[in-house]
Amino acid sequence: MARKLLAVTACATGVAHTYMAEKALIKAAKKMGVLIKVETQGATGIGHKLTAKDVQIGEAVIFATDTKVRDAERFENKKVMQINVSDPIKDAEKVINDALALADKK
Amino acid sequence: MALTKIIQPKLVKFNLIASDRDAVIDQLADLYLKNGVITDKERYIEAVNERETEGTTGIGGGIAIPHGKSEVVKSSAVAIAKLAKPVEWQALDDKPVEYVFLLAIPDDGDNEHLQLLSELAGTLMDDDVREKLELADSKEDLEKIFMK
Repeated sequence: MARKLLAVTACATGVAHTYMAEKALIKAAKKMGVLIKVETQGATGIGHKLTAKDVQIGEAVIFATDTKVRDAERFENKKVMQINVSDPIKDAEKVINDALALADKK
Repeated sequence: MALTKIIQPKLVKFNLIASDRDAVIDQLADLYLKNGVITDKERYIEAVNERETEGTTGIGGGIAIPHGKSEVVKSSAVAIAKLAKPVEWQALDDKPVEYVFLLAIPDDGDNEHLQLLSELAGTLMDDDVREKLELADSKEDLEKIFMK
């Protein structure tokens, strides 16, 4: 069965990096056969909001954020990997591998 | 693609001659001032530099997407330049930058235009778009990449 990850992306201005990180994560996940849902917290609002059901299904959550994550309490009890918003832009496959490793950690 | 709405031919430069990052931003800010996108060049550049100190906007693949959010910006815009000679940008992949997308973001920009800028930023992660950038041989080629 395909692995399932969640991610939240956000940057200071909320216009550029948030959405580049989103695209980079989706592109890499597709290539690696991993399912991912990415919530963007940008200047124009929240995109693809992660629901309670999403949170339940996701094995780990990637916070690719340079700002405070909105509604972070949704992810209590989840395995969360905090990185910079530029990390997925630089190497999204590594980010996904790291998140999978975190999910596998007992 | 709705991106056509934000790509303005008068804000696109092919083979821009600039010796370093500051010179690139200075020249594109001049273009903004001349076209009424910004009302104060100095303050706009200040905002761009401030963003740059928070982390590089050189996203790899020879692309940089600097941006300045300021009250001196009158309307959301993107200025696009292919540089005659790549310049250093402390990019994520340490490669020099050849393609610059300078964003102008108003303090109270309307959502539609901000979303278009975000969409544009997202397309820069596409291999397809990156390939077309490298193949672009003229100002028209550059414009066409985003006006499909």
